[in-house]
Amino acid sequence: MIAGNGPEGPKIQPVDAARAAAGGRGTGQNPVERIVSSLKAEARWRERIVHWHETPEREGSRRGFPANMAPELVQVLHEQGVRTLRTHQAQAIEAALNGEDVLVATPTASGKTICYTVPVLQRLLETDGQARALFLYPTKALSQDQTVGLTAMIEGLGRHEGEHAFHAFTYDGDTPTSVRRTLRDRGHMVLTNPWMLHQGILPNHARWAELFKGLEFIIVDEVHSLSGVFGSSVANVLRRLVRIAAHYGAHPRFLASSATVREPAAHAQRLFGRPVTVVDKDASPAGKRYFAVYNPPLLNPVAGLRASALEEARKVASAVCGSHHQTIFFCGRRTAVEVLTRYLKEGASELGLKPSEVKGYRGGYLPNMRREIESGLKDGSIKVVISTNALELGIDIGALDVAVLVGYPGSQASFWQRAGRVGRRGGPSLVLQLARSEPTDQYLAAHPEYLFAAPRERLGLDPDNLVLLSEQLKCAAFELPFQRAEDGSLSGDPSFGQVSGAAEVLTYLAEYSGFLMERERTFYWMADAYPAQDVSLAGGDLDNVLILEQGTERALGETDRESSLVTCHEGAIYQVQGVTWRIEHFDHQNRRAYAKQVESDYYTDAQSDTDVRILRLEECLRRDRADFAVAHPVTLPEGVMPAEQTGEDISVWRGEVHVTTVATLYKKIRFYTKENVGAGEIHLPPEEIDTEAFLLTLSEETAAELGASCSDGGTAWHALGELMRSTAPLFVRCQPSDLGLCAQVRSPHFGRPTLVLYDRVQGGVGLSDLLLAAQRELLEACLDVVQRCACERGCPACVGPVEEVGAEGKAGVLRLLRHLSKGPDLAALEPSELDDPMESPCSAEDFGPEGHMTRGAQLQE
Amino acid sequence: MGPRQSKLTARLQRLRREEVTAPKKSPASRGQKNISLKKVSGGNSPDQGLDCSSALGRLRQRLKDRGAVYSEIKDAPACPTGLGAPRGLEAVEVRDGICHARIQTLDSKQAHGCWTLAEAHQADARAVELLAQDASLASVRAGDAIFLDTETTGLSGGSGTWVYMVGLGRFLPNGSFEMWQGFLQGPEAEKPFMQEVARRIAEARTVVSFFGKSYDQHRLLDRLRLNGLDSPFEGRPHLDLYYPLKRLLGGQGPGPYGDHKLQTLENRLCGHKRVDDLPGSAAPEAWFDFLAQRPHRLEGVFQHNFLDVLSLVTLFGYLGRALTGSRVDGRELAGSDLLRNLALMQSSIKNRQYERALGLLTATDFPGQPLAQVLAFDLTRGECLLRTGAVEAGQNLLHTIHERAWEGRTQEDIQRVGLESAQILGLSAVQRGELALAVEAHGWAADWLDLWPGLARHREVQLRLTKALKRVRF
Repeated sequence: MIAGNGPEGPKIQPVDAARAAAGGRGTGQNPVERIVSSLKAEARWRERIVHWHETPEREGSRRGFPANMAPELVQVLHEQGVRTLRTHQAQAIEAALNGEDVLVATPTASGKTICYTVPVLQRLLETDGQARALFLYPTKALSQDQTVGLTAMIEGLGRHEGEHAFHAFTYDGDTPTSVRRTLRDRGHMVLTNPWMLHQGILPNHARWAELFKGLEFIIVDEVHSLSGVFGSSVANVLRRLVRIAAHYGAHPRFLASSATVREPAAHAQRLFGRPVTVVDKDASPAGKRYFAVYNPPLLNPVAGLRASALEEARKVASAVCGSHHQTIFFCGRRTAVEVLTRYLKEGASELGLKPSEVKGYRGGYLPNMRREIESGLKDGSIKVVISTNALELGIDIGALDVAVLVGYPGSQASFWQRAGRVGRRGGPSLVLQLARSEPTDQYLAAHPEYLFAAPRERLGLDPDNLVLLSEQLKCAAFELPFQRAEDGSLSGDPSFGQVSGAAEVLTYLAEYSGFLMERERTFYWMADAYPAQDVSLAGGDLDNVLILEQGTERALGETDRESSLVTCHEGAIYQVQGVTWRIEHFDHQNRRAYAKQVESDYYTDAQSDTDVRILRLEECLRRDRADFAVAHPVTLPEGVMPAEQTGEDISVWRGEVHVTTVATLYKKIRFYTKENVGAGEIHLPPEEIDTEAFLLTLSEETAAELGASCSDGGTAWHALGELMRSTAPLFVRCQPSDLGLCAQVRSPHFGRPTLVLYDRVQGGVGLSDLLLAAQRELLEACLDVVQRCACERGCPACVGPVEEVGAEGKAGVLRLLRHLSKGPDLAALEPSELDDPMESPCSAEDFGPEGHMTRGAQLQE
Repeated sequence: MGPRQSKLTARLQRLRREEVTAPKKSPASRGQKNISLKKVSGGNSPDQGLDCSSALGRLRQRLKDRGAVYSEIKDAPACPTGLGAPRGLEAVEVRDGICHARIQTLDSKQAHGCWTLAEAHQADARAVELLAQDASLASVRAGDAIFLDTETTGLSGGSGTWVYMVGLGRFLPNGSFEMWQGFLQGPEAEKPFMQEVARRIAEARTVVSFFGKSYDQHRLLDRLRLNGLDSPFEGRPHLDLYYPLKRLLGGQGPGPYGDHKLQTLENRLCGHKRVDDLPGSAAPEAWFDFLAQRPHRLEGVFQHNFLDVLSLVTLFGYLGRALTGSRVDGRELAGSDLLRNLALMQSSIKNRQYERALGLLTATDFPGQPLAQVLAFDLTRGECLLRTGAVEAGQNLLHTIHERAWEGRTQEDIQRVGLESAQILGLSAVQRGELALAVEAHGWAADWLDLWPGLARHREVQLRLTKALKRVRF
């Protein structure tokens, strides 16, 4: 991912080389090989590592440069050590030069950069500097790295000075005002990020006229990270970009890169609004890689209790950390990073390290602290870093040697990004995947092949989400008036013309919100406001809560609004670099939390309550009882015969819901021992959202036969919901925390057992769609997890601990899953067969045979 | 239309969390809606009617939360409200359509505050050039300048911010003053409007504005570019009165929208007091109301813009008299003599014209002025004296400053002047090999540093002084 990074390019930096040499010195063996041998030899590790996977060194396949490439460009690549292209690079470059939109979807370090720098420079040469290109990177650091690489290429071409010079500039919040003008008028290649494009460039496009007039390429890096709210917003920003370019007479092509994802073509089409050519056969050479899956020992086989992954990470550190190589630990949560950093700093001397050689790294640290750690990693002075996903994207920290993934990162793309942090210099590397006591992790411990096979998770992206679309249309109207065609549609618009409902949204913004004014079939922005400043791409990042030191107002970090309910309540323990702070006061209105440093031997964990109301049902798949009878009906009251095998069996739905969440209380949990040492109440206003949901319902008869609704008070039903939620990331690109759960034994809407898995973003970003599509795979995986789990009656790794699900919980969930995941597929209902609860909120059918609903019977998360 | 639309609209309302009642199409209810919309978008009606503007109101609230400068109309004066097109608009045919403007001719003897417009002709270009620190203004004259002020739909800039009124004032060959106020009747008529604005600006030799280099010019350039028109500002000197006037008033201030705003300056310096002026922040709403055919306060905006342009003329006249310190009829200029002298001197020093700086002084004694200001002035003068070779006079002055400062040493701004005078004296003495004086001054500076730790640069100078002394002594 690093600029100028050719296949075997001028890649090896002196520091890297020195580090590699130091690592090998005196032992005759590479430190990674040494670690691997000891992990394989020592009994205590051997019994925990359930799976080894090795990928041998690979040659890769190569091709010559495309015939139409300018000789001087070929020359520059030669000088940089690039003698030939990898096959996938050649394919991508040819397609791009052919005028196609291209997506290169290959793993980290496969040389994607060259796939778009070459076409851009080629066109610059062909047009003698008339062409322009806009590069979008997900982080500032990446765009700065790339500017350096491009500038080196320009110098190689001898085009760095004089009248015919080419210029590559980074444009971000740090760009001084004095150079912005030069950059706008003379930047051939402008490297920026989606936020600057959204808030700085597009709203001021008149000043960027030179860029837009000649715009031939839009480069979008790391498009696999463009999913969910952020991706859906960026898709709209790209629509705005294409629209403005068209205004200046330009019709740019997209050149995009991505980690390996499922259905890359479909994802790119949703993102760019047009079909793209996908290049996804990686032909790059690679060093030897070791993968190990580490499953912490079962402490209590009956309870299925495994040792904590974090605790195991601390133990395994003694084997994988050292002073001659660099190790990175990835944790899922910020608190985990802080806890592990604290453990490893305290135990640094046992690892042969100084505490200062061990660092934590996560979002929410202030930028200068982050820069310091990044350069410490590059120059080798930091030996161990413990990070969240903040170090997952291509921030330049050089290549490390060992990666320990404490828990599955939640997506295959993330897994490979994290794994790609090690072994870039062609030497051997090790990735250790540490399983937590969670269903996904345990599923992967049993099915490691999942990790190495083709990606299975679906990426959620919904640019037409009404909330996002309406906010983005505000920005677009600010930039350029919208014109209706004769028929009232926007068919003449180059970007939003094909978006259904766009014209109505504009009408709404004009008539109801008062932002626009329609005159003679044209919508003009007519408000004293700058909408892009207020419209966030990540959904609410502008609403971030700032955590300040009480008294001094010094900023300690920040967190998003939703998490603030559970991390910034009064009494919460907030941790930075192993230091503990207690939140003394949360100014909810002004989004500021004030903390005092305390010596705390515990951390806090908060809980919340949720209520769901169904607003509208949009899609339904159903199976009849006649298609698949319940195998062995259970617990029917005496004298009651099994119901006839007619009528409905199970249904799954997609629809709109209204969700209310309240934070209720928090627990204090002691470090190391994890014992519960107290609790407190949380008093914060509820958060309410309207969103989309996936719903699963059982008919009364089926529910009775499966025992889902009566005896156990719905604990098995709830446990099934939790299991589905935590397993969903295997098939849908999301975190379990992106999904909300509400399990109702008797839904007030359906009058029967209902599971609601809802998108936790206002308006939803397509997760419910994906869940509907993946429901069968998901239920099958859930069954696999529960069946394989060693516990007797439930544990955190499958249906939840027995104290929560009860003695019969595991059996209950198994019974449900054996029915739900087997038998014929569900069939789609005609839209006309769906009721719209907004219009007929009380149709008899909604309430099942008994015709009344009991709110008290609900069980909520 | 149809059921789909109502469903989508209902859904949007719910998702956008807007409590909205359906808009009525009939003209009668339109007026009703307008009033409440206007109120809310003006920011002073939290509870009435609308709905729709809650979105805008909320947006502004959030922007304000994040520290955006947002103008709010607190107590808008009883400004006349009109309906329909503003009166007295003339239509001019230009290349791509019609441009509308209100044109008035004024007698240049007309007073604006206690200055007349004609006094602008007596401005000394040297004073303007010096204080504006811009050599391109060396021969600026009111007679061939255009006085520019715009009214826009917001302060934020960007493609969605419209410039809908441009006031351009100029002196005509016959001596009278022409006030041209171009008015944009609707967004679709922008191109001819901008064509005419650009043409008129291009006819003048110099542009005169207030904060226009930072604001008005950029808004106009954006609109011109959007319409594919060339910039009339290219290669044309632009006098932005804000900066030189700010210098005259003593440097740091609360900015163009605070105490150094045009209305304050015209009042303090030229004695003009506005009555019932519609604040500039009401301008966006007035135009939106007009476009939506609601009752509007555009007349107030015309008046506000008119007065702004006249103030540009009198303030230009004021600035041009800064060197003489008096008006043509001999009356003294309003404002502090001391600060004006200080500003002149500092502007000269900026150009390294130390002799000129000294020559510009109209006074060196300011009885009754705050000690800190007087000493700061003397310090600057002392520095100029040293630079121009009048070493003895300079050293004497610095010595006096040190002594006077020591008497008033409790104030921090005096401590600073005292410290600097001692250090400059010390450096000058070292340079000239006057060891005794150097040692003494070094000691004074050390005393000052005991009182007030100084800034990093002061401590650096002290270190340099100490080292130099050591070198000389041994």
